[in-house]
Amino acid sequence: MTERADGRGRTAIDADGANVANTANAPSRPGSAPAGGRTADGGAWLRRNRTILIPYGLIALLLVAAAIRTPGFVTPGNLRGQLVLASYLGVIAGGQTLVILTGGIDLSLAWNLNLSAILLTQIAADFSPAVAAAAALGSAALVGLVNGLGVAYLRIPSLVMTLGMNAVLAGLTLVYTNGSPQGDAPAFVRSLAVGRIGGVLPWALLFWLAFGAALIFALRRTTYGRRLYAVGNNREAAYLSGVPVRGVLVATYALCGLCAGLGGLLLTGYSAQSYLGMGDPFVLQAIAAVVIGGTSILGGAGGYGGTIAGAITVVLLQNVLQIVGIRPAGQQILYGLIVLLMLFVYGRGARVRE
Amino acid sequence: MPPLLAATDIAKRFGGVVALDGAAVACEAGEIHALLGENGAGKSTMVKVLCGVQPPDAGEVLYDGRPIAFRNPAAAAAVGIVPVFQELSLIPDLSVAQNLFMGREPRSRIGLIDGRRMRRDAAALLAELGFAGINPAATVRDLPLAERQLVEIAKAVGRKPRVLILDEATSALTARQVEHVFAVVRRLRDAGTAVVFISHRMDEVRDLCDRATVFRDGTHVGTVAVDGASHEQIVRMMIGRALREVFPPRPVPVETASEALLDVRELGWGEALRGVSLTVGRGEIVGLAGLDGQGQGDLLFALFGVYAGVTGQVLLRRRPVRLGDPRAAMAAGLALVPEDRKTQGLILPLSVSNNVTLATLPRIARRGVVSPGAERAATLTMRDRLAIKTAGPEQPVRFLSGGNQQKVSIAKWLLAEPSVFLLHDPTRGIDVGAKQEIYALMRALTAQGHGVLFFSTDLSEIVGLCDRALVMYEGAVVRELAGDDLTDANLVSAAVGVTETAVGGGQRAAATA
Repeated sequence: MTERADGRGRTAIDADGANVANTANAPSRPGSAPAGGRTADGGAWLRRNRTILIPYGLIALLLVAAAIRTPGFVTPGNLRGQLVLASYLGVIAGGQTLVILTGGIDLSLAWNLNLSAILLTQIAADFSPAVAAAAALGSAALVGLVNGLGVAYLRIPSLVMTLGMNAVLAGLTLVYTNGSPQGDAPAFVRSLAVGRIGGVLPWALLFWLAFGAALIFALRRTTYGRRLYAVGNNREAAYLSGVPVRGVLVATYALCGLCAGLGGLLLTGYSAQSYLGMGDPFVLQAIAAVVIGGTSILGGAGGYGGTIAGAITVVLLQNVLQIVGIRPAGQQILYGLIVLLMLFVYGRGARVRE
Repeated sequence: MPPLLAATDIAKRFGGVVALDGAAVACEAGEIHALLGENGAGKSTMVKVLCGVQPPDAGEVLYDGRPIAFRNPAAAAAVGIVPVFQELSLIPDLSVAQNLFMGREPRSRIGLIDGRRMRRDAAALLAELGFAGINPAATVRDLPLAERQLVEIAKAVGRKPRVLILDEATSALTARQVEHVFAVVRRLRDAGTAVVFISHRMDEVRDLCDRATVFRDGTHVGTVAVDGASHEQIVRMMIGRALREVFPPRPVPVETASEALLDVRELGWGEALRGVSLTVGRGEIVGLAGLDGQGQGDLLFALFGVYAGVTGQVLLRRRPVRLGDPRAAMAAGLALVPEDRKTQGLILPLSVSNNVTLATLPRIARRGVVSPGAERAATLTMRDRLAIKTAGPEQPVRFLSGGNQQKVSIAKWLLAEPSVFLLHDPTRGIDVGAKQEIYALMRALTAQGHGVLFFSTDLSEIVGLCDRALVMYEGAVVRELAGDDLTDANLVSAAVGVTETAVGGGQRAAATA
């Protein structure tokens, strides 16, 4: 097997970041630096963490570009605003990260997000905000659960299952709202999305911090996380090791739905109301955030630490393209190219699946 | 005569791991040259250097006396150096014929692929090699592993190589198929082809090869004429020490089978399993023998709950096991070490620690949260118990040698403390030293009161290791052999369906039902 330890295998190893990241606390490996070994430890560290470093490097690059073009862009106030926008995307992309780690994809989050946003405002008109939020999140998680059941038990490819679900949800939402959603975002949702503690620290960032910490903890330190990586890497071996593969899949899609619901809440709070089509841009953005963050589109490798950077990158990119003066059409092209480029950069390292 | 293909002073490093350093091999035309060494000794790396898969970091490869550097395997193949690897390179959804002529399909006059001629040529090639049982129109996916390996060999031979490299290419073959392949290889040799042969089966090397080059830790240890060297001498060169008895001694047959841990009654699964009944007693190693593909693998899968629609009854410690669910089988006390460690037994990109604890996560976790201390302790315990050579618990298992990978695959189940281990060819493709360790481990397990149901394609393992052996034929147990009856000859005759009445004790097979 040592024969396989060639450079081409890199991404597959370092990309299971959540697992390998623990190496930091493990004692240094004896014998990993043989006499005469040219690889400096720093170089190895860089290679191991390449998938995390690339998006953070991109962020720095974008900031520099923006600062040169529009010095006013890089101010604490504006950066804080960008981070708040990134936090909405980051929460939505959190669920997508989990699903992509299993080797699947969730395309239904556009209308899942939208439906939960609409449920929130419409129900809040008649009931307490807590009931409205619970209904919104419950519906989002339920949609995810149904996705998971379809993928795990009926073995419908996730692409098809969630695309179909998206269409069903779009139709349901139209029927439910009669074409024009009613109501406003409850006050506490507005505070969560745009409020600041003491006028300085945005609640949304605090929420994202807690959300991110919980997700990273779940991926690295829980049995669910271990099983998720096992299922994403090799479903057959996981099954033969007694991993409840279907349970892991169902839980993952349900969690992804829940994240879409949370995203719906935040976006509703941001714009103070719900509207039709509000989730549409976030499907590709969430996938882009995950992919730019170094999670393998084939599943099994990556983690939320990268997605955080990916979400910030996507938000910055949009704004920088705007202030650099590229027209929307050009922005779209560049945006798509960058996603493809990232897939290429990381894909080069990925081991070809047999 | 100068060697046709010679490599001298080859060095190759992968990151921090030295695979080859001062390695050399020289193979003459008209010679079958064995490359020997434990797993991780660098044999496969050398093969990859020879056929252009990996460029060496240092050293020189001479072909026909001229230095060469191949940019890729196709360049090596173009001048006549053709390898057959242990990992199969066939495309599963194409036919046998399409695979055989991959990249050099016969063309019709207008430049299209001439399918009819291709099938005809494929049939002719297979017949010439003595593999006539393989249908050229069959889809590779539908062939059993052994036949796929034969197609792989045919594909290489069909290219009329000047140097043919067989890297563990016979590991999945039955004895008779191996004989066919050897006949082909000898014919090629006599026609002036140089053959480099790698196998873990020493008797195959003795049978086939003229000279042998031994590697240890990436270095050339020596080259000997196979006839002039004793078995012990070669093994000592390989492992750097003398080899003691290959198989651990059997315990004195005390009340074996006094208590049946595993009691299987009339197990059926479609056409593949037809009314299999057997028992595995406390402290017993029961072997499954027979030709490859007679239902042994299906039996292990069916017992472990992988298949749906299995009929019959399985009792473990007298309690019925719910069929069709691996988790139920696990909970009842069964463990399966599957055939293919790379795709079924292990999750290669994940760490040693993640793999070892995968089946027993709840034990190292509280309320779903893994305790790093417990995880590390479990991993290190298993590492020490099985002497797994690894840089650390966080090392991805795909960097381990085959033998150490197999130990990880077994360690995962040791942690689960099952009553009965189901082992599917656990020593296939691993080196002598690791094989012996696994034999010793199996005996240690039975000494602790576990039972082992053991399928091996290597007859000597069945004879040397098992307390009893069940010979399977077309999905049924046709013969039970134990004690003095457990011999190569009896196993072979039972495997090919020869009925023998002279040998006593052969009729006990059905008695357990």
